[in-house]
Parts: sequence; C-alpha cells; structure tokens
Amino acid sequence: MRSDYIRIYKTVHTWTGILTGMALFIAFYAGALTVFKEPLARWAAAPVAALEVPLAETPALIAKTLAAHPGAAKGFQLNLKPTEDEPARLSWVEREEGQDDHDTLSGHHYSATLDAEGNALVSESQPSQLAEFIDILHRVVGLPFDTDPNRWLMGVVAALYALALVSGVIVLLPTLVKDFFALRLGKNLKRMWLDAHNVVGIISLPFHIVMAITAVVFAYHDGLYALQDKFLHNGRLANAFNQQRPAAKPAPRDPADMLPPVTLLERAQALSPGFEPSSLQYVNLAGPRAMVRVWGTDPAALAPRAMGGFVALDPWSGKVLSRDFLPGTQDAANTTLSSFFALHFATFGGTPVRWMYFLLALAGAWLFYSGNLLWIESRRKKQRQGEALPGQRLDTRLLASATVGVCIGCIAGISLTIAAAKWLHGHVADLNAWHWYVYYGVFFASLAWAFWRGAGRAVVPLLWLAALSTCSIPLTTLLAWAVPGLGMWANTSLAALGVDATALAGGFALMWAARATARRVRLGAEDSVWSARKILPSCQGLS
Amino acid sequence: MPGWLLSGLLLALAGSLAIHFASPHQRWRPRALAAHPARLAGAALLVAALIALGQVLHSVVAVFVLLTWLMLVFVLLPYLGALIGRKESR
Amino acid sequence: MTKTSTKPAPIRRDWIAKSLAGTLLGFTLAMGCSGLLILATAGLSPGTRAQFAMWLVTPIWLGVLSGCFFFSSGLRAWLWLGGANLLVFATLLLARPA
Repeated sequence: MRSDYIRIYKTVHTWTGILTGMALFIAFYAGALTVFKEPLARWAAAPVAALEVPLAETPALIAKTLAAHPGAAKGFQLNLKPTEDEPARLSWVEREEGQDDHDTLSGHHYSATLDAEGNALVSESQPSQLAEFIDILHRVVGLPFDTDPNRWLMGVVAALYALALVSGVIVLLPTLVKDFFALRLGKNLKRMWLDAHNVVGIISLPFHIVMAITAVVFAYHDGLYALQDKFLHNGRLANAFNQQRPAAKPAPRDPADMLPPVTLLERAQALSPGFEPSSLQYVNLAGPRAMVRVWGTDPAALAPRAMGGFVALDPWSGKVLSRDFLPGTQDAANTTLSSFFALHFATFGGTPVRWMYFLLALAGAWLFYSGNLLWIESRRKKQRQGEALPGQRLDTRLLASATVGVCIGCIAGISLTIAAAKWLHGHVADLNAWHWYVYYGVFFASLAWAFWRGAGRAVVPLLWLAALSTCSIPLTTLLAWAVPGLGMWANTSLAALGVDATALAGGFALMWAARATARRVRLGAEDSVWSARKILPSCQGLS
Repeated sequence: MPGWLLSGLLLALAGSLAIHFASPHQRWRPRALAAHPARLAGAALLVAALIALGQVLHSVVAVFVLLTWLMLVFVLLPYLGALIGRKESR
Repeated sequence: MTKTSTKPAPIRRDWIAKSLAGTLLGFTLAMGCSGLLILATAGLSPGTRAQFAMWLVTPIWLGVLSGCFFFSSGLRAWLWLGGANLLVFATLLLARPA
C-alpha cells in the first residue's frame, strides 16, 4: 500500500482517537460494570422484609392487586426467583403519559404481596438506581441522562470510534504480521506504548467492531426505522411489527379468569425444554392486545435482550402470540438478529462469558487510555545532552491532565458512588439524586485537580484516590457486617459478594498502578509531562 | 454443562499458549517453540475446544464463546509475558 | 472516467470534501442498499425483513465513511459515491413493484 494512504489514515486515527478517547474510556469502564448490572443492583439493595407468596397463590395475588390498583393492568411483573433488588413476588412501575421510553429513572415503583388474611398488601418503594445510573453513564458516554440528544451524541462518538478502528488497522497493516503479539518493554517508551496499544486493538478488534456498530445502531435505530418506513416500507412498518392484531375489538376479559402462572410456565417450558424462566411480564391486560411475556434464558443459546428472551402468550388461552424472541428455538433469521444484541450485551455462554466481556471492556478502556498516552509520548520534547530541560508543549500538557482527570476521576467517582449506596442510605432524602452528586462531584474535582496540579503531580494522588475508593466498596460491606448499628447491610448472596471481591481486586490493581506510576514520576525521564520533579540543577544528571 | 464448557475453555487456552509460544515476540520462555508444529498443535487444540463447547452450546454460541475467549487470552498473554520476561531479566 | 496518466498522482487530502462525501453519500448509499435488501428478501416475514434492513445501514455507512479517504481527491469521492448512489437508486426504482 502506498505510504501516502498510511499517512492520511494516521491523521484520521489521531484525530478520531483524540476526540473520542476519553468519552469511550467512560463508556467502556461503565460498560464493564454494566455487564454485572444485576449483581450491582443486588449489592446495593437494602434488605426489606418481603412476605413470600408461593407461586400457587399468585392468581389470588394478581386478582386482588388488580382490583385494588387497576392501573397495574397496564403492565406488571411476576418474579419467579426473588432477589435482593426484586424481593417482592409482584411489582410494577407506573409511568407518566408520553414519557420517553429510554427514561428508565422516573416513575413510581410498587410491589404487592398477600398478608396473613390473604389481602393484597401494596407498597410503594424507591429501589436503588445505582446500577441504572452506571448503565446510563455507559449508554451516553458519561452524560447524566439518557435523552435523544445525548444518545445522538453517543452515536457520533461511536461512528468516530468505528473510523478510528478502521484507520488504526490500516496504519498497522504494513507491520501487522511482523509485530503480532509484540510488547517490547525498554528504553523506547513510544515503542512500548505503541505495542501496548496495538496488542489490545488488533487482537480484540472483532469485539470493538461489534461494539462500534451496535452502539451506532442503538443511538439511531428510531431515526433509521422512521426514514425507512417513509421511503422504503411505504408507511407499513407498524403493521410489519404487529402482525397478530385482532380483527375486531374483543370484549374486556376478567383478569380473574387468566390461566395460573404455573400453567403459563408449563406452556413456555413445553416449547423449549432448555428454557429457564425468570419472570412473567403481563402487558395491557385491559387492552385488545393483552399478553404475558415469559422471560428467561437458555444456557445453551444466546438471548436477544439484556434481560434474556421471552415467549409471548395469551394470558387467558395460553396461545402462543410470538416465539420470535424465545432463546433456543429461534429460526436462523431471528438468531442472526438476536446475535447482534447478544454480542453487545454478553447474553450468551452464561457467567464465564460475562467475565470475559468484563475484562475485554476493561482492556478496551485501557486501549483508549494508552492511545492518549501514546499521543503525548509521540509529541514529547526530548532533552539533548548538555542542554537545559525543554518545556513540554502546551497541548500535550493539557491532554495529559485531561486524560488522567477524566479517566481516573471516572473510576474514583463510580467507586465512591457505589459505596455511597450504603453510607447515605437513610441519611438523605433522595439517595438516587445523591448518586449523581457523588459521581459528578468526584469526577469534576479530579478533573480540576489534574489541571491545577498538572498531570505529573496529579496522577499518583488520583490513582490512590481511585484505589481507596474502590477498596471502600468491600470495606463498607465488611463494616456493615461487623457493626450492624451503623444501619448499613451486607448482602451475602454470591452475586453481591462477587461485587465486593471484584472491587477488592480492582482496588489492589489500582494500588499497584499507583505505586508503579509513583516510581515513574519520581525516577522517570524529566523531559516528560509525567515528571513530578521540580527542575533542580542537581537532579539533571540523574536520568 | 460446566464440565464441557470448562474443558472447552481449557483446551482453547492450551491451544492459545501453543500458538503464542511459537511467536518470535513471546516472552514466556527463553526461546520460542518451533513455529509450524506448535501452530499446528495449537490449531488442533482450538478445533477440539470448539467440539467440546459444541457439546453443551448451540453451534453459533460455541463459536461466539470460543472467539470471545481467544480474544481475551491473546490480549492477556503478551502482557503476562512482559511481566514474566521483566522479572527474569532482573 | 478516463485514465489520465500512468504515474500515480499525489493523493489530495480534501478532508472536508471527503468526510462529507463519506458521511452524506455513504448514508444515502446505505439506505439505498437496505432498500435493495428489502426487495431481495421477500421470503422473510415483514418484521424480520425490516430489522435486517435497519441493521444493514450502519455497517455500510461506516464502511463507506472509513474507506472514503482512499479516493485520490474529494471530487473523485463525490463522483464515485454519487455514481454508486445513482446506480443503487435507479435499480431500486426499476425493481420496485408499482
């Protein structure tokens, strides 16, 4: 290939990388945690005393709840396996009219159980939105709300990310085979950062291509469907998606006559023996298109959505309304479509694959961080023998500050806002708002500190902050367990303890990074934005 | 289920190590393995891994799991090798 | 297009012209291709077909955008991509059931 092309694509790679690297770092770091969204939600959920309703008694629970709260007929959920974050058998969210589908935060959460006399006991709760908050940071590259404009901005970031991937590969093509697996440590720091960056970028390229394309689709699918409906489907798209529309409006049916959940589960199970149901979602019971979605997963198959897949049944007759999303029995076309989602959400292969995605996403965050380090290292002004220490370029100093401020600030902010779920519980009126305050407070303070002190002097304290913040997650749990009087809690399910163990490992990794970085800013080259040393004549001979 | 999955992942790990050790850039061993036999053995292990995964997973899922695992392992091996190589050169 | 010389001409950067060609014409080309996919997959259920058509747009769009810097000038990017658009949309109009 002509070297001219390489030069052009190197420029493309540099600019797309610089423009999006830090946003992508946040998206990938928060995304890695979102792989374990459910364990995080379980870790953060305060224990409540929920009356258990046996599955056999759920028809009475549903009928009595609907009689007392007709609004629940619009949609409610029956949980088959109660967890810390969904302890009640029956729960639902009532949302405002005309609310954005992507707005997952507002709305009133209710749950219902039966008391000893068999009466419906409905209570409103404010479940922790910690896990959802981290997911939102992931979905809209660190912005606070999942709104249309924010998602479109994330779409632009994802498109530039795709451009960065392709251009990066083109730049690397001439040395791709020769340097495969190379990670050369040594005096040549630029070489080392380049290798460290390339090894991740090239080897996990398929993962990143999937993420880039799906992220652009998730940002713009509404717009794409609308345009295609107008120009390619002649406005018939709504019909295409709702085929089983009843011809005439049926008479409203009595929810008390619905098939019991046990029977519905048997119907679902009969369709696919490997299917493991987790919940039943009742939708529009008062409307003409009433249905119940039996959600679940199949360990051998991939699942089309983050929470699994479903079969849609008629709640009265048990007739199958749609099995397009039923894991394990999808046809080739639907399996292909589902795999686009599964490959983004890691909803295949169970927990082992979730761990792989967690680590690949962290490696992705490292890819963007190291990309910025490489940019800075490439523009370093070196000290010549016998000459005075040169000042580093302003742009490299600013990018270095921004990189450590944004990336390490994001890690520290997320860790502290996780710990805050226990510390602030019961002490503040709106804990969910406080998750925002804590995260953005730490994030912007870190950023300001990094610019004020300069990257070389800010990076080590920031890494220690991130390390201690992350260690505070398991320490909080330990303290809650040791001193119950504090009003905190220690959830002991494997999922919740997994969060503590992972945070402990992460905290130690950050400590290791802090110590290694401290060595570098103290002993490394002085002609670098990473040097924390004051320029003293006596030191100059050392490096 | 976990037995086949685990053996599939271990076979793939062994195959990845064989392939990685054949690279001139590997830092795990004093000397790289002979390229052709090691890569051939690695490829055979990966095929065996796919077959093992296919015992408990739908074939498309088995391919996805294998690719995901390979990406992770091949990303980590050079980093671990650099750590090992650095310790030994001290 | 006619061949003008045998020696490769220097590649013009034309950042804005090429990026715009890749973004705009790449998008219309991708939409046109998704239209062709809809025509070609009449056997699928309408809902499935619509989803495939939507998913096809992004890879083509990003692929064209990523590749458009290979054109030797911004003008050529516009001409080639414009030509490809004409071809796709002409096929779409001709093949479309009335």
